[in-house]
Amino acid sequence: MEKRLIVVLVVIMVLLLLYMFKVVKKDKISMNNILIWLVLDVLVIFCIIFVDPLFNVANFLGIETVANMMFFIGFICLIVICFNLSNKVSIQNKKIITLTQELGILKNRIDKLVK
Amino acid sequence: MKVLMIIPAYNEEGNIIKTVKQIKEYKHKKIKLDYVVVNDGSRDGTRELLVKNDINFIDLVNNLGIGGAVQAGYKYAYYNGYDIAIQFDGDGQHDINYVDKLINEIVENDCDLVVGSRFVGNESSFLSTKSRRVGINLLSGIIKLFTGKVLKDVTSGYRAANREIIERFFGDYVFEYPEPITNLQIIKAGYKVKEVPVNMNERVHGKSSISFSKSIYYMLNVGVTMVIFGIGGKR
Repeated sequence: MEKRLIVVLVVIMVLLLLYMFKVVKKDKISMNNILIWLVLDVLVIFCIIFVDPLFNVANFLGIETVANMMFFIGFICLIVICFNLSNKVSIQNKKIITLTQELGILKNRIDKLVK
Repeated sequence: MKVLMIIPAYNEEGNIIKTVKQIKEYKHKKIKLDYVVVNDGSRDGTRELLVKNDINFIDLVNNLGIGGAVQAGYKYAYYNGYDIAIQFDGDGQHDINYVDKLINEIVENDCDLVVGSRFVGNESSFLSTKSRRVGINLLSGIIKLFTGKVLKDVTSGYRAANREIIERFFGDYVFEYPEPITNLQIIKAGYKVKEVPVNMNERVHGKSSISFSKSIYYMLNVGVTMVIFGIGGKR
């Protein structure tokens, strides 16, 4: 890879990393939700800097170019993360439903007590 | 014997008072009916109407959809020690005069869940549209396939549950399109489920909760869910 390209890519990934740190500090996002992104970011930085071993890995897996392999791995990672998020949303949805129901029943009870 | 009518209501200002009046005026020598309206985050004047007319209701601050609203009713039944809970639509589709038949099946014949059915006997004046009947038959076929039991009106929202089923629904209920899926789950778990002929009317005010454009999604959603629960073991 061209040296300049490596520098540009690493700078972008590091800036992204710093941005994630900032978000965590401001308490906008909890660690369990952002950890996977931090790990991915660091991995990508490693892949950019130490690109040579990746050729061997791609070769071993029978994938012709490193770029294809990276796209493939990235795609799988995103699918897993998305599925995980769907799961979390649905758990949270269930919790909101339970809260709403209990609140409604409680309001009914209080109304009766007041009367 | 404490019996609760659960009436889910979402934007039902046109129908709800009439529905509650039917229940209040229902007279039977053995049966006394309590009721609770579940206001599912209505955006019309339903809530104000309920307050003004001093109607017993659960006020849900979010719109949960029919499953979440009905489950709130089952939770109310559970907390207040009801022996039987009956789902009764707030839109005037269900006929109160058949309620004793549903209750009877639980009291006399030891049923766990009784489904009021349009397709058993010749009581019903309204049988739904042709395309919907095709869908209902398909879902009915899935139940037959996985349980061996015939249940014709799988989507009927006119159901009576005994205490055991109330406790079950308290813990676990399907939120999106509950009836066909819970029917399958209950039959599969080995409970006694029976279909009883009832009359249903066409809606007087408002729109049905399932429009035609949503029916493909409905069939896919419910069909796949039923197959998943059908394949799995007892729950």
